[in-house]
Amino acid sequence: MEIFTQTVVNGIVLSSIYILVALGFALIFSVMQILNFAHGTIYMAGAYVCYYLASSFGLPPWAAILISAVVLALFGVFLERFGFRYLENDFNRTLMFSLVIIVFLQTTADITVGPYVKRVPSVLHGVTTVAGITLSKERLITCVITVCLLLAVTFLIRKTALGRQMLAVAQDGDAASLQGINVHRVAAFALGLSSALAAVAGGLMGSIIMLNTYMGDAMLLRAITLVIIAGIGSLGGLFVSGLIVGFVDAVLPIFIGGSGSAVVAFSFAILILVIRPQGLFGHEI
Amino acid sequence: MRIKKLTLFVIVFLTATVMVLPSLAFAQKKIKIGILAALTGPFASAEIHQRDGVVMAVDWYNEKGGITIKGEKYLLEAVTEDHKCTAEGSKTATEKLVNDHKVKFIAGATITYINLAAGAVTEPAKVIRAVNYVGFRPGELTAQTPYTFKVNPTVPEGIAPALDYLVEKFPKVKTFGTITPDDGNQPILFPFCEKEGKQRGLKQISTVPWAHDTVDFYPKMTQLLAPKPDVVFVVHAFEEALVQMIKAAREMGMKGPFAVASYENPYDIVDMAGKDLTPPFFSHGWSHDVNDPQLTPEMKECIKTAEAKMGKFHNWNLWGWNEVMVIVQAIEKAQSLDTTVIANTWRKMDSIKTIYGPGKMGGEKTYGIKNAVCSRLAITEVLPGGVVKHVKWTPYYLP
Amino acid sequence: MSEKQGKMGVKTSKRYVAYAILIAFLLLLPWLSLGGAYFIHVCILIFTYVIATSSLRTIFVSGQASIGHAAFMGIGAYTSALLSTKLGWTPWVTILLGAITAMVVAVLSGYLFSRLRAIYFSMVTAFFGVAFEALMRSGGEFTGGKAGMVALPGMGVIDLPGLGEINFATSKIPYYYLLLFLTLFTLIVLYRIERSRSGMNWMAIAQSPLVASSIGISETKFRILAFAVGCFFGGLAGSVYPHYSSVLSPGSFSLMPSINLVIFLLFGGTRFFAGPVIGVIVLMAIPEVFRSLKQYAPYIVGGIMLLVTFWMPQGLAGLFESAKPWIFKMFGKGANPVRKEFSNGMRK
Repeated sequence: MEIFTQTVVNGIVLSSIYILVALGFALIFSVMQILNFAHGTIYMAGAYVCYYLASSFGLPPWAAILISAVVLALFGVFLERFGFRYLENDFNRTLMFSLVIIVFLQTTADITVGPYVKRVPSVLHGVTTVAGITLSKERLITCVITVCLLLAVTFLIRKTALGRQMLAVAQDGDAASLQGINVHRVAAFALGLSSALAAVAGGLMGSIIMLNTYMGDAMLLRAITLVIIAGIGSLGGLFVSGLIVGFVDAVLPIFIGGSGSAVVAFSFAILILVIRPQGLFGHEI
Repeated sequence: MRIKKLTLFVIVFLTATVMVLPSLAFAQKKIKIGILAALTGPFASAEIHQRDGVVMAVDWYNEKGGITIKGEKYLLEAVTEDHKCTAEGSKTATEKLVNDHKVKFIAGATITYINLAAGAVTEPAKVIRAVNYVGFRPGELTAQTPYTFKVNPTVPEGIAPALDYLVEKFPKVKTFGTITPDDGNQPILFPFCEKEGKQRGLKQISTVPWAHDTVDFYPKMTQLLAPKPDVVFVVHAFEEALVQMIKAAREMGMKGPFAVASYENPYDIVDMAGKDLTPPFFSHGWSHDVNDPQLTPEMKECIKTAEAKMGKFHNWNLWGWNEVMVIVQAIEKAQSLDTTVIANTWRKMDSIKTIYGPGKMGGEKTYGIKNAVCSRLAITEVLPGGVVKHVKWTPYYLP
Repeated sequence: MSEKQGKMGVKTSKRYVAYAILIAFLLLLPWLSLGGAYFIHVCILIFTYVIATSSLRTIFVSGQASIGHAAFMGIGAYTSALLSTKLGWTPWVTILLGAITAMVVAVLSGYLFSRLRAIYFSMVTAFFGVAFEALMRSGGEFTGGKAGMVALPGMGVIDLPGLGEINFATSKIPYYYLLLFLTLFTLIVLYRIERSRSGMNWMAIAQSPLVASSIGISETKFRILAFAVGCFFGGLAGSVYPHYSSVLSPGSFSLMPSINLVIFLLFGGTRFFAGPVIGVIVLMAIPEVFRSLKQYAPYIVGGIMLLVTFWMPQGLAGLFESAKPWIFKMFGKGANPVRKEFSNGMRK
């Protein structure tokens, strides 16, 4: 029973982190039509900035995460303003540019703190007992924070003007600009928001799990998997696919060793792409 | 036109001279020691400290005047190449060290497949290597690899002493679960642990391999703890992994001892896993207490140097320092720079000093060649409250 | 098409002379003692990547951006490694089999993947790549798992009656020539295919699938063809290298190596056939030239990539082509000497 609950909590934690990161990735993809491969590296950068703030300035973890999110958000806006804007959505060039971002961020991380840095201090220490079952406070609070964030972002997108502008641009960029929406500004906002979400995810994961300059790679793959399974344009579908992949990652490694769970997740993604490219919930492309 | 040509000639001549001069003036003889370490990749966080250890040792020997061979003084020079934790990276890095930097001695590496890939380059080139984690995989250290020497205590020899101390300190335990990396060694390692456990009246009831890049240990620990073993027996790990294992296990309610046949830094473990969560715990890691009389003078030297130069001492500095220590002794004993001569001399040495204490050459039966430096293992325990204490030294010998 | 344009009207015979000189240079390179064994090693690596990147270009030319090419190199590599170690077959045969296996897999998966448009195709190839690597890593004892395989047989010894023997085990130089030969072979084959009917069909599909299919060009068929050809040579490049280095690890065939190949390609430019060659050489040369900077070398690479992304959308090869008028001007030949080559009026 204990093991079951542990796994369920773990599944929710992983799912919510994956959804946070995938949400950012999907936003960029919908609004800007760009596959931002650098998203994983931004997640990693968020975690490291968080560590840096917490250790060098002694900030409490929640403050570190917040500031890290702001820093990465500004970075995202900067990328759009001086980078993606000029690439006119050319697949080749945006791909190259995202790779350039990866090179710069990864190398900086590897050189500066890289191998010497281990972990972001916990938001909360120790364990707590809920209904007779021992759970990690850290993981619980991560669940809570991420779920709140997801609700907040969903609210932002559905109910606020800026959010609806994003939806409009995602549907049809030209039509949106005809309506007077500044597509570039919306794109910048999308990129900024995505980066902030990734940074928060990074900071939270950084305290649950050790820091590692390559943590972004695996996370990127998960994010893309989620987006594919859910389908382009479906933000709600991300929740479902997030739960699927999160639980696969939480449960399968218990039974299958090695990279078995990865093979399952990826094969499923390939299957979806081949049989139903628009994903489980997306619209036709 | 004429003037221009003359100027050009003068410039070229001066530049050439300036470039040649340094190599003329600097007649000091040097011995290059290559370091094959992970600067990037999953094990970088461990191997970078090993690298630091080698570099510090090289500086230390140089400050003492270097090595003397047949009356001539030689200084040491350290060159590092990154193997990136892949077999391909290892091959390329070793190529660079051997063919480009032309080193004759290499310190490192630690992981089986890294060593195997590097060996393909170093053995034909007769480059002496001081390696570490020699597991059970064929080809790592055999009669066909006369230039490869195992110099630090690693996994196989760590298992028995760990289990011995386990039954000594925790006589009530009956079952254990073994967790080890998925690096090709585990098919032999698990049965080996089972056998060793049985000899001491313990039963191995679960075995779990984990991929090197596993980030989340909850599933793994869930699997390991399913049959509810009394002890978690960790054979070889990295710090991050070990910390994760401890946290996960404790959060799942496992209160029994962690017996760790590995050499991670107990202080960092306590720091990251928490001093309430870690004990009961013991491993082959080392205490940093320079006031502890049980630590060797060389260890204390290393600890002090690290604290002075790097600001902080790290466990793996010892491995790196030891690598240099034994290589230097072999060279000095052979009084030659011919690696074949040095290798033969090394094998025949009756005793060799290691940073852990006196050592002997062994491995004739185990590996088919007497290239294993055997000294002593430490048993270091983390007591309640998070205090790290060196319990004792256990000598080991590989026949 | 663009090839004719790119040649800018240099006389055919002069071009062949230039190629001959280049090939002679490459043949003599190992003996020019420019750097010893390590230099040869880098050359071998460059050849391998040129084959891989050029074959990737073939796929790109048909409008498919594959981000899983390294996986096909991996298919070739593992096939060849497994056949030569488990069954003891000679690498000369297994390398070919490796390339063929990669091609077969490409055809089979092509039926599934080539129906997909643009970004979806890229994503599915990326996933295929990652799934393949994960599969190899889970292969346990059979594929060596994460650790990979070691002690792979080299190319052995060839006895030339009367002339002595070529021993691959004692020196890198035989491998150099083997790779040089394979590279030239690959480039020539790919070039000819591209100039043929199939090649023109590829470019038609890439430019405008609707128009192409309205003329009766079967889009799917030609896409699969491009994919198969590209993956054959990709598999070839993948199969040879492990026999040279005697080791193989799954990490070499994952997403990042695939992305690296794409970088090589985009950097050199997809528009010109010489793009991959230039891209590989420049990007491989930078870390070697800037060796003293060691860990900072990626910054230089990133910086140059940045330049290429923003100011050289056609890649580095595009730069050389657009520099040609300047060069001709310098030599007093006028900006655009068109001799016997017929400029067919296409936009520059």
